[in-house]
Amino acid sequence: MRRHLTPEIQKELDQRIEAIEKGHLPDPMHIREWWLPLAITGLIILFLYLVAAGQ
Amino acid sequence: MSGEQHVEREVYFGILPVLRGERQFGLLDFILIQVGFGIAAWSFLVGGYTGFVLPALPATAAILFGNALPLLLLCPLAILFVRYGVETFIGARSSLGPVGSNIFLVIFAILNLGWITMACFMLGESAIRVVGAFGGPESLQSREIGAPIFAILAFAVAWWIAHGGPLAIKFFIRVGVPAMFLIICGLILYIFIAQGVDKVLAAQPSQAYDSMRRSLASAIEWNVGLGFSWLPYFGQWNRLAHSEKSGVWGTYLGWGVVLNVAAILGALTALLVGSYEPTEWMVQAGGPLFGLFGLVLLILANLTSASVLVYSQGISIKTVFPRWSWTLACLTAVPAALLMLTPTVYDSYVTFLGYVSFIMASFGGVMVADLMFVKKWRISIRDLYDNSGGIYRYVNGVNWAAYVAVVIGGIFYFWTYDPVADRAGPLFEYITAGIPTFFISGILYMALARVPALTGNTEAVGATS
Repeated sequence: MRRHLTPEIQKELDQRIEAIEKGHLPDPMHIREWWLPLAITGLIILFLYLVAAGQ
Repeated sequence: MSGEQHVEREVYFGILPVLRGERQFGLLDFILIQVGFGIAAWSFLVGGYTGFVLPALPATAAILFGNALPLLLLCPLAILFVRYGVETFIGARSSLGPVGSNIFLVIFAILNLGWITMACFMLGESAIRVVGAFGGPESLQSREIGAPIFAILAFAVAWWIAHGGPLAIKFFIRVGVPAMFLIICGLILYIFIAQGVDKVLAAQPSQAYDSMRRSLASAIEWNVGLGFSWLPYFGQWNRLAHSEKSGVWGTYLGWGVVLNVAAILGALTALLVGSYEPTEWMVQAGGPLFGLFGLVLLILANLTSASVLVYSQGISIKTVFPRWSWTLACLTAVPAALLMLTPTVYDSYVTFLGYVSFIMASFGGVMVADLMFVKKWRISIRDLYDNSGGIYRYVNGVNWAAYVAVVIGGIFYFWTYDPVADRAGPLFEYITAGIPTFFISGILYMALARVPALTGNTEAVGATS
């Protein structure tokens, strides 16, 4: 892919890769922050179980 | 700046990793854009089919479960795209290899033709009902002649809009999103005010399977197909998220939870009027005046959805093949017109969802397993952009361990459930097919990733962070 880029874009790409390698990254997600998707999915599974059991 | 120049700028923006300071989406923006992009023909249709085989409560549970669980399973990939700011098919190089990622792009482009067909043919169905309301010619009111003509005309317009460049997205935001919003408000008014909750809860499905368990398993499977179908679109939005949490929560809440509102309303309406086809129940539910207004909104919404799909396909192809002209990239969507010549593909929506489910569940399982358990979250951004593939070169650019796992996952899927014949295997009613396929492909991949003959024995496992 890189070979298809103009020299200016390649230079820009290198600068960005360097910035990311130096740790210029967005805020990381802590494992504790998975609670919301896990809790909602858990409630949905419970709802499905109750509905299926009630049929 | 011309349309072509706008596209070139977007393509370079698509190729280059997005840096932290350039991110545009917080959590709320992210949910809104996901929902705006996601709610369309496919949401109403899958809801309609679900309400065709299940009563209200089980239908609601099947829709929520079928969409939320696949999104939860795919969400670790959101972290990859947020962290490094890369597009799906660039990020996928780490697990599939550069050539393998391009093969995945081709598969995405083929499936995208199916989604474009769904949007355009539903528009055709809406148009023939509008023609019928105004007493137009018989031939233009038929599904066999009128609907394909309107669908192909709509596709031509959508293609032209998409070819115009980022205008498609502006058109989508200004026209498609409000049109969908009005349809949803109309459905809420119809279901909860005009009909009443008791009537909805008591309604029985018109085409249920022989057993409740089979109806539930099938409905879950269709929704799982829609849930996994978002995989190729993960990168394009997540790379713009402010933080990893915004990306993961936004993706899960937007596509996995909030989007279900449209499908649930579709299911409840289908239960009340006994049809899964939104263009049919819109007239039955809204009467001649509001029904007609609803059909016009549905036409606008599907036109914008089709434009965005053609545009997304063109941009994805240009990102991987920057030398292709924008016209050529957009022309890859043209075969969709062939699928609109008869109602066959549109009527086979649940079969199509079955194929989407097995393909995306297999790829998703492999990509998540690779990121979490093989690479252990360590990705080398430099090697993602390396001409030869760098440490992600694998065997001639393809990670065969990934593709063998995908194929075996597919075999398992078809043994469990044949979507063409709608034939269920012995386990289908207990475990369905798409979700176990995700796990089987992922676990198999973890074992195969240790076979040097398949992976080329590269240093991919020990990439730098």
